[in-house]
Amino acid sequence: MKIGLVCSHGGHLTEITEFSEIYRYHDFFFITYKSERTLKLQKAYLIENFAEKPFTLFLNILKILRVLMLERPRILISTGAEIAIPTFFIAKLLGIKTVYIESCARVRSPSITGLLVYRISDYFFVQWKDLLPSYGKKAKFAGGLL
Amino acid sequence: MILVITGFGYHPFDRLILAMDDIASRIDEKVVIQKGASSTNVRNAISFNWGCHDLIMKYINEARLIICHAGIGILLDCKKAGKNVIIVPRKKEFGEITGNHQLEITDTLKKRGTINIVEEIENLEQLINNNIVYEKIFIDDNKSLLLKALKDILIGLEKEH
Repeated sequence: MKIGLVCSHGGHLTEITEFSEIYRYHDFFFITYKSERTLKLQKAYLIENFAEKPFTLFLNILKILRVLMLERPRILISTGAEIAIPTFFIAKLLGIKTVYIESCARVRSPSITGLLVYRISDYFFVQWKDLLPSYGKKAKFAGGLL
Repeated sequence: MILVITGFGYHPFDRLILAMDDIASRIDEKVVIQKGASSTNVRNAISFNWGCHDLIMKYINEARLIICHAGIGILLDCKKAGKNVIIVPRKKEFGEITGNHQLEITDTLKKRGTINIVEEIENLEQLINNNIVYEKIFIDDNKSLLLKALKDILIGLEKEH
């Protein structure tokens, strides 16, 4: 199965790699921001950090669309942050399943990304029980990285 | 070696850096400080601002003890390396962070019975000097439940085909 991994660089990337036993025996690729660390990833589509450079957002959307149409993953898994927002909306249009895992950093208050992708995510996980009240029934707590 | 990690965010964490620079002048052990966004002059320790992830991992593996902000990236790296950790959460009142989510993390970790969390920086030196046996902050089992939930989703998808 082809799996797309969507994350910002930094802590979100560290978090998603903690789940490597889920994806490493499948055909996987990353969609992430360009950085020293992500340049070393085996199969990664790197986009400009549109949180830092908002004017790159439109081009990034086109790039994400092209990547998803080319790769046609069965499912996307994301640990955030805002890179998940356009990616999940495009995935929804293309009929790709989506799993959002709220960051371990979010204990009692939800992230903006989480709030924005909650409705369109097929599966939604929080990593702390205290965060469940911030979301609806779809949100599940099944343990976390810490 | 004591490694101090302040993370890769936009806010400096001078409260921790200044305290550790001061402590470093009194202890024999080597201290390395990753300063992040801070421009503070460090006199008694090796210091650098950013560093790539490989460099940070090299220092983590060398360190006897890691003192860090409550950043998930560094905490996960320390957990993977099996290292002793003292966590100093950033506080919004000092302009160290935009909200108090680091305190939320440490408040939750405190419920596990750990004492390795320093909210008042004056308490840091005593915790280092006491040389107590550092109990684990991290729980391994938590992760396996989430991994199973994710695996079940993939298995379900494979069956649909």
